Amino acid sequence: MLNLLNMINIIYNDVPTPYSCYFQDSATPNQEGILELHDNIMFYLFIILGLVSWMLFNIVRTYTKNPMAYKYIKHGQTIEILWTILPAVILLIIAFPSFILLYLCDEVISPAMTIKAIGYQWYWKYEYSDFINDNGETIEFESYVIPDDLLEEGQLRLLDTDTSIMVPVDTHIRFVVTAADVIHDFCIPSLGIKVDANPGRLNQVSALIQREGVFYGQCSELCGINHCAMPIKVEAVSLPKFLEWLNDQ
Amino acid sequence: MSDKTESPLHTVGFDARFPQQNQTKHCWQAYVDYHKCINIKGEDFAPCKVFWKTYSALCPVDWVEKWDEQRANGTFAGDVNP
Amino acid sequence: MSAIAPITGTLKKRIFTDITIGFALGGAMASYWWWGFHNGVINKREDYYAKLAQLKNSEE
Repeated sequence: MLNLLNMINIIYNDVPTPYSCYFQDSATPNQEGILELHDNIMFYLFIILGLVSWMLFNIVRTYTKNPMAYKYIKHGQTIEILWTILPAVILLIIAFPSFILLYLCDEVISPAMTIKAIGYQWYWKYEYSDFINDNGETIEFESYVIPDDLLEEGQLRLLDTDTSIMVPVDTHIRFVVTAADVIHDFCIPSLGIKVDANPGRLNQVSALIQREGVFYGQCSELCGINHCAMPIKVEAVSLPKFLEWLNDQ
Repeated sequence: MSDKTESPLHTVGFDARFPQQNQTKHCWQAYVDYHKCINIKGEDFAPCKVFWKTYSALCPVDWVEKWDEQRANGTFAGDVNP
Repeated sequence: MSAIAPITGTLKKRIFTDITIGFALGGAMASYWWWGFHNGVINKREDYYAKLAQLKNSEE
């Protein structure tokens, strides 16, 4: 019985699934914090829901002989003070943890590598400019969605891409996000990242991936007709494997 | 990373002048500083490399190309003269 | 003067029971959410990471 909600919650994975109603699995401390805050706020919301529903139900049920619905009462000083102060207090207890989280997620103190994500209509381009080859060229590649008719068995429609961002696990990564034409939005739910990609502006955001896996995200700012077809695919691998991949590039 | 092995990954660290999420000026300043630096000290002056690393890590390649072109045409907005 | 004593305090009594029941209802739902659902999710995740850390230690 206690696991009832866990059974409904079929999204125990790193990808969105049909009819899912909870978060994708978290892979970074940031996302764990977001999940904690969400569940915390939901706790307060359930209490409010219970109280308000019960009161409303009672008012409806006993309306005709309810002394609270006395028709000549036009003004109730006490109750008005109460229903102003109490919500303010509730908002405060929600606000403080959220500020802490907000400022923690904002920090990019000592990243070990930088990845640039540049949004185009309608694909992403990634640059790994910490690494320069002998010709002075940096690693840069574009990442397009795999069209429906080219999908192979097991690939995810509108989520899988031809090239993916490779990142090492347990490494502090800085994403520098920008766009070249219109506003896009770089979003990976499992990593707790969602940052707008504005033309002419560089936004940074950090991630510390704690486990290997493939994480998916989508452009999250309406950017035109193929807004749906510019997904983000991140492959988190161990550091030696990542270095191997770097050498291949 | 663990202490026993030196991490092969290095990138630009935190800069107190640019603590915000918006790193546009961080990239721009490093680009201007680098070219000012090499104009004064010459291409091979090692300390200039810091700026080079910073701007190449942060600035999109397209931006750098555009600015390089502007410098060649003499229309660059930043002050890079010694 | 009426023969029956005036009936007072019903409002106070009602509102007290109603608020109690309301909070009890809400508290029950919230408790289920937190201890029944949220903690399960967190424990699953922590177990996974504990296992992962163990695996990494055994490999070294």
